[in-house]
Amino acid sequence: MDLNDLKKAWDKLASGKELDETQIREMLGKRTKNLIEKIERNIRIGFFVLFAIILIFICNDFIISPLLVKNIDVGIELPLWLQILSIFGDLIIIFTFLFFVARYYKVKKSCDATCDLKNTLIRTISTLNLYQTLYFISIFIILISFSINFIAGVYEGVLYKAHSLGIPINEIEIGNLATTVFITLLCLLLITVGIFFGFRWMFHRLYGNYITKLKLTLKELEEINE
Amino acid sequence: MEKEFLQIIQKNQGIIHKVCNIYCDFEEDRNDLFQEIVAQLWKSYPSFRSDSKFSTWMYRVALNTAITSFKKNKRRPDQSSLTYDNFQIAEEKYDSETEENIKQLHRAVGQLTGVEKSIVLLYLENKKYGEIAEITGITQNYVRVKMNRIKKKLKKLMVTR
Repeated sequence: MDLNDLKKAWDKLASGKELDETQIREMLGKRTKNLIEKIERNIRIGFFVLFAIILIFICNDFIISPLLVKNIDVGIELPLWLQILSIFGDLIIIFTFLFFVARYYKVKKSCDATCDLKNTLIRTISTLNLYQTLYFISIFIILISFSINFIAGVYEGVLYKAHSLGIPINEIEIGNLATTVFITLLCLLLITVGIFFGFRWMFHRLYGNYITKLKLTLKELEEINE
Repeated sequence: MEKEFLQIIQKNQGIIHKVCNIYCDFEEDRNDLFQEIVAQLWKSYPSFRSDSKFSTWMYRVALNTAITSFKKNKRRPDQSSLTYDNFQIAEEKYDSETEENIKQLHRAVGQLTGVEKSIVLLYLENKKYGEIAEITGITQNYVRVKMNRIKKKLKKLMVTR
């Protein structure tokens, strides 16, 4: 059998059972979202969840915490360095979020299903990478906020205790305090690293082969164009 | 617009069937892919501009969907035990020579990569290199080079059988 026979065989090959208009309409009606559409929907839900979390963190830093401190009324004032740290943390969180949203829309606008194969592959891989990044950004945001709030909480707690006992701040045993802060931050870091690797493992298990297949196809196309 | 779309799809559904046949070995996968391609075509239909041929646009969407489709790991019989009955063509009646040729075609094409399958499909559909380049996003010269390599590969695959 040569290539001409192959071509003849192809021409004779039945194309499949013919569907009428009604059947095609029914098919469209029953359709469910494909994987990339589901992922894009999840990313958009993620935007709203992250945005809500950021609003809560900002409300906590600028409204709830100052109100609570004010209500205690024991003359404790948040030091300037802690306020700067808090604002800095919030700015990092907001910029990370905005950067992610901008990246998502850049990928989304880059092409649709009518692009050529190469651009479609690039878009699909980028969408999957963005989906993975969304989880890492969430972990990063939560970690930053927890850390800053934890440091602020410990600091204010110590000040409050010292104030209630009538001890000057410079006479407080710093060693024990530093150990507590260190152990807690270490635990927080270990939990975060655990979540990070757990998620990474789960993501690779679900989509690892798919991403590898897409990357290999893209590589093949790029090798052709070299 | 829906009516117009359905009519065009019904008229050109052979393109989708052929893409599904070349990318899927199993009936269930072929039906899933067919549905996904029709859905993608419907989604992209408003952006179709008549500056390219409708069939070119349809091949592009269908092949993009086939290559980027996500297949769940379903329990499947071993590939080596695949029988002729697994193929769509089993429903049709052919003479024994044609049947043998079609089997060989499936075996050979089944061993190509996703990109090679798309190029060979367009070649078998008598598309010109320019149109294949437009659909795949690679240059016309490289389509020619790639097609020559695929032809050699197919010859080798058919000889080894």
